[in-house]
Amino acid sequence: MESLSDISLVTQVAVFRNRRAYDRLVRKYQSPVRRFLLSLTLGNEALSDDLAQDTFLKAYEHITQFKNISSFRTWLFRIAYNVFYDYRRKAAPSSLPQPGEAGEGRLEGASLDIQTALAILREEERACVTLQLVDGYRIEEIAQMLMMPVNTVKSHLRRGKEKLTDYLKRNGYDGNK
Amino acid sequence: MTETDGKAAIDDRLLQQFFAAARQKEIADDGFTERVIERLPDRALRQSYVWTACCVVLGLVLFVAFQGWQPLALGLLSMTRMLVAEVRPVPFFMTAGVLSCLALLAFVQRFERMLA
Repeated sequence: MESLSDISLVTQVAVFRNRRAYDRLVRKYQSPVRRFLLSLTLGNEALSDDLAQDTFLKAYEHITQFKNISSFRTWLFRIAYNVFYDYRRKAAPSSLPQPGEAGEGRLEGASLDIQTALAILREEERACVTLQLVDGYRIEEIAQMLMMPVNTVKSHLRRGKEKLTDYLKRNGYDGNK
Repeated sequence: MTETDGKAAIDDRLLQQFFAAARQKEIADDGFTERVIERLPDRALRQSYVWTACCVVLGLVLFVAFQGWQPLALGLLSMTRMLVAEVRPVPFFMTAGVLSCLALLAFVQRFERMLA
């Protein structure tokens, strides 16, 4: 039902350039996309919002290329990851926090620890872990989003989870915090 | 069950609990959608500008190529001659007088409003 409504909205945007329909799509997906980019940028709110805007602008420009093989959400996350990847490639190394240092997060309380914990991971590991543990995607979906083989995603997930578990245990997190 | 299996299971429980807060967190829109919609490229508007510019250029080229000013000048000249020939002095001056009075009245009213 959700995908049917998405397809209807996407069709209206692709055929008639209906801004109201696109407004509904942005409103619906802004939170997960911004949350994903916030995790990738280690809590850099301004940067993640800029990248999220670029994501939605790119999606609008290339909406006719959406083939409905995957869901609109999966397609959108793929664009978001590409936008982040492009930014990372072009930007100076100092423009993003390096592993081990986290920015200020919008997700208050426990999530400041989440950004700190995510900062110990490599970018690919962070993307895989965030998509699975925060957004609840299956490995096959993550592979589609990040355009990686399923086995590569599994490796990133395993290594990322090992590092995180080790980090949590070393810092005395027992699950009751 | 191997030791590795047991450790992996515990890891997952810990990680699930650790990320539980982030899973439920919704980021408020706070004008984000409006900012995106404002920045959308308006292709239709741009296309209409391009078409208008093309038509204007084409019209100017044809106007020059076919000496469009000749029939235009002839037409204007004959129209002026006809109008001059058709003018009857009495109704013409009567109409001009009425229109002048109306204009004067409007001017006085505006002047009064300004002073008030």
